[in-house]
Amino acid sequence: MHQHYDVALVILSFVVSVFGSFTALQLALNIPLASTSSKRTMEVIVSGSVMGGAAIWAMHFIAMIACNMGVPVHYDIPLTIVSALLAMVACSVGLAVVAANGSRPANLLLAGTLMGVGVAGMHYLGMAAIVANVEMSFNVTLVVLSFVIAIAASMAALWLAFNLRGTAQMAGSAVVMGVAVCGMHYTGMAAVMMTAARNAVDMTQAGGISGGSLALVIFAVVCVTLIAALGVNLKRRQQRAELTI
Amino acid sequence: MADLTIQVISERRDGLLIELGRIATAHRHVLLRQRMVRDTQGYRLTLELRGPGEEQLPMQEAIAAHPRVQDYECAQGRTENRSDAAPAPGPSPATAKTESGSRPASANTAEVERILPSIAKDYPKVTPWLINLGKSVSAAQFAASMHLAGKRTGTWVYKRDFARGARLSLADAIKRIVVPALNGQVKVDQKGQWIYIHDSGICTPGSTSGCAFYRGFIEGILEQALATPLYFVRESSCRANGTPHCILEVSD
Repeated sequence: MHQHYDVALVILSFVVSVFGSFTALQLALNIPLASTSSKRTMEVIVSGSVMGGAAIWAMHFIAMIACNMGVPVHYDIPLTIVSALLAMVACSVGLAVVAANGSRPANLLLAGTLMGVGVAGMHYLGMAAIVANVEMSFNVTLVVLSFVIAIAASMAALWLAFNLRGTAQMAGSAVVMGVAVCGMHYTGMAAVMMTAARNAVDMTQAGGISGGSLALVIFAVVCVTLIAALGVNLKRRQQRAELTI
Repeated sequence: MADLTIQVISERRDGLLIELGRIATAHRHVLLRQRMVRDTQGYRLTLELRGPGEEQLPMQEAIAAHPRVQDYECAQGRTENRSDAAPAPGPSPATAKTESGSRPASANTAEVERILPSIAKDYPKVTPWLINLGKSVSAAQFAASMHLAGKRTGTWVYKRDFARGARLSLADAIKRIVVPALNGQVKVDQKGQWIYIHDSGICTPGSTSGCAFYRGFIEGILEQALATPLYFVRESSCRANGTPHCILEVSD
């Protein structure tokens, strides 16, 4: 079975990934500045949730909606929720490691691995959530490559976010992370071989959430991210205005 | 090379010799002899130093401005040997003559505070305000006032534009924060630990050097940006003295 992609939705998936990464990394820069441990924990959770939820999870399911497999597709709700939680937790831990301990190579390797595994793990859990009359097998080499891409680009994005300053940092780190997430996803999709299921099921009775309904959830997630980005921008402007020389 | 005797009085003695020794080393002076005795105001530390003549004034300024130095006196040449058991009643190097006005004056804080809001409002176009500051303070207070204005501005710029992110090493802080921050005001190049400032409006040929502002600016940034605060910033040459650029050295 061939997969056909809606180009506009593919582009949208990249844009959402970059936008979500941008917002999450800007939130993550507040972690070292937190004055108490509870504030620090809150910043970690918020930034990790935006990264995992918006940059990774939303991107994945926009890309899945963009992929026409030639058969109706539903998504198992519990697995879809767990995939989102996996991405959020992995990203939170990765960001916390770098924010707390600096961007030395050992920390970057640990944090990048955690985030990269989170990105890739979310993808394959999302694939496992597919309810459709297909059977999937995976090319192991490409699966491994997808993990490597996710880990390497996560490390690069974390380094850029915490070491550079100014416009270059904001733009570059978000684009790199967006490339990481999308690169991982489409490599993972290339690793999948789909064949028609031997025992077809009646999709009207299959349960799960349809692609159309999932799109509404993704829209809500993106709106929340947009609000978070606006909030960060407003707060930074206010802090800048209040800063005295 | 010239010999210099510096006497300072400080409330506490612990770490004083190390801190002032670092300043001397940063200005390429060698410590020939040191003596510390109790004084009515605390402790009197006498340092006999040898180093290049052109570094003496910046070093004196740095030592006099050190927060732990309560009183300061400087004389050319070295003292004759005296017993440590007999505290000197006052700074009196036997074979030296005291330089009149050898103590660098402190900054005119009131004028600096008056100018700073205008610097913040018009930043990065700060040259007119710095020229204004230079005209409103005495010649003796000029360098220290410029330095204070620079330090406050550097700290503010860092907090406003560069605070978010990890603490950096010295080399990374210079490359990623100091040079971009300075480039907002003047054209700047970096070659290793040397920062070249081109066409500074406050250091015009024949005028009084305003490089103390840039030194303070860099110090204000590095104080905030560095993971470990071990560095010095030194004015190496200035356009006001006829060189093509102003050059500052930043090193650890």
